[in-house]
Amino acid sequence: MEALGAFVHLVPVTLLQSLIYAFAALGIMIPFRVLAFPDLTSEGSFPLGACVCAAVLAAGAHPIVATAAAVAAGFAAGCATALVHQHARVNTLLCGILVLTALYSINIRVMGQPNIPLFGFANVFELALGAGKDDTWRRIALLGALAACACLALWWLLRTEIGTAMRAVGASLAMARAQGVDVGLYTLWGLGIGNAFAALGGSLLAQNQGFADVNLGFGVLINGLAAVILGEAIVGAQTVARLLAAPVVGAIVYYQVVSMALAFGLQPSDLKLVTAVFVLVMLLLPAVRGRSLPVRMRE
Amino acid sequence: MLEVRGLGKVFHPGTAAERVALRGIDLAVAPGDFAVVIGDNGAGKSTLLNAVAGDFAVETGAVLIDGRDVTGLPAHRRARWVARVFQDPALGAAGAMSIEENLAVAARRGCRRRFRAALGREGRARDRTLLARFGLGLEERLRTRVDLLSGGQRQALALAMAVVRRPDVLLLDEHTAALDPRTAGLVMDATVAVVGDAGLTTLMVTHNMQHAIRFGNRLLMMRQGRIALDVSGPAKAALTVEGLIERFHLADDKLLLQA
Ligand SMILES: Nc1ncnc2c1ncn2[C@@H]1O[C@H](COP(=O)(O)OP(=O)(O)OP(=O)(O)O)[C@@H](O)[C@H]1O
Ligand SMILES: [Mg+2]
Repeated sequence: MEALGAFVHLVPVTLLQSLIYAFAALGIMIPFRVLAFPDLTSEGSFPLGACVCAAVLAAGAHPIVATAAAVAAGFAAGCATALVHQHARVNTLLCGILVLTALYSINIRVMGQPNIPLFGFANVFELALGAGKDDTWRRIALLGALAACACLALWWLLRTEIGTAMRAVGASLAMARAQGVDVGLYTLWGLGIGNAFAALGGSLLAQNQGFADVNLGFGVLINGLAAVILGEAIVGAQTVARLLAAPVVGAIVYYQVVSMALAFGLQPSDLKLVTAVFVLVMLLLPAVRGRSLPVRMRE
Repeated sequence: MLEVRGLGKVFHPGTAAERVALRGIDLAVAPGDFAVVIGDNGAGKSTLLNAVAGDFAVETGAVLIDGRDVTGLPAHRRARWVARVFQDPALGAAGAMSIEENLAVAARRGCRRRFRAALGREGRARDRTLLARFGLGLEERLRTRVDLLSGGQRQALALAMAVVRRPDVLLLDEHTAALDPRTAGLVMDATVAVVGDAGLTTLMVTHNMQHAIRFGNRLLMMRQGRIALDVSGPAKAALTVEGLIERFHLADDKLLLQA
């Protein structure tokens, strides 16, 4: 009973956290699902967003400028992975690992130190909520609205001629090429957009908790993937709208489940193992049922 | 108008696996010509079509479309002029997308893609009219995902995608070979109808001798990377399956079986 009480008490905080990670999950969904490019870069672009945002804030810039700088840095990280893939002809997974490893050093360089405290600096919450900036529910409302806007923007984008061509790249390379779609260019944009979202998540996390650390968001890729898979099990992935709702719904449910597990005595240090096993099981389940794997690879 | 000059292609040059696939092909296909390409396995038919489409760089020679040298352009840039239907029904259309989404992607082939809704009433009307010609009922299923379609339906869709925006050159590489005879017949009829109506400049590879005799106004036979026979007009019309086999000693089992 005590454990349940502890869990219920944490529901709002967990919800706030999950909405931040929802941006990372959206950013993971785009390369994995839209482009069929298993991109691991977000493990590096998420802390990159936090570090860039913190460094720019600490330099005295406006929070919007700092957040925009984080988004731009994430976009560039995604582009880097795409360019390594195209020009060095390196396997998609390896490209992501190369870039995220490099980003660890870059993140420390950006901050000039392994972490930056942000107490006393303005942030987007203060900007939008004024005196109510420390109220968890107001922060939840703000991030919920932001997530809804992001989904709407992506929904619109993926249904334009450009967005449909991008989906074609993920659905069939041969078809996309034969129909004149520049696969390299669309992959570049897709990975850029995905990692821009991951970096946005990182910058919001830094601003929400008041500090940035180079190790922040460790494991965000697998958590995000777990959220995407869980979300798809709940809302499906047959339409563009469902594809976009899945990461958000999945992140919300995933972090509540994790919070409950922790309240009922799961060792926090065992969490990564449990998540990894969960993702593995969810990946293998369709294969056991004779269907194709949910993480598609390009030929 | 498609022109191929001295086209040579070697796969894996300088290695033990070296293969000369094209040995200096010269070919001019006049506007509106429907040329059927036959020849035994490994003769270089697919390589010729793929070279025209721009799948790989060639060692020698040039490809010209309407007088424009496109030899240095990658496949996606040549798609502005060249449309193709593959042998494998899985390749022509994206399975995870709907019929209308596939056609929407194809409809902008060679055009600048815009931040504008891909699907709309106009496009739908265009798709219905186009698909109705195939007699497979696809026009009623615009929102169906392509991976729910049969091989024949997918090939019909691939053909519709190839012609939804008029191509200067249409390449068909055994596009009915993976289908059962009845469906192959339907897709072939649809092919002849759309190619004939629009007067498309077409290269069609086939192993089906009857199709080779019956369709097209020109017949090319390839052998070991060269064009061994080129007949058109009345001479092509006068060809018979027996005559063809006899005259040119087509010893290929596959050809004999299908004839
Ligand atoms: N990607 C490739 N790599 C290496 N060799 C190839 C490749 N593609 C074709 N070849 C070789 O080039 C030659 C011509 O092949 P091609 O596929 O053009 O023949 P084809 O006339 O289309 O035959 P089929 O009737 O069997 O389709 C063959 O010797 C083949 O082994
Ligand atoms: Mg072939």
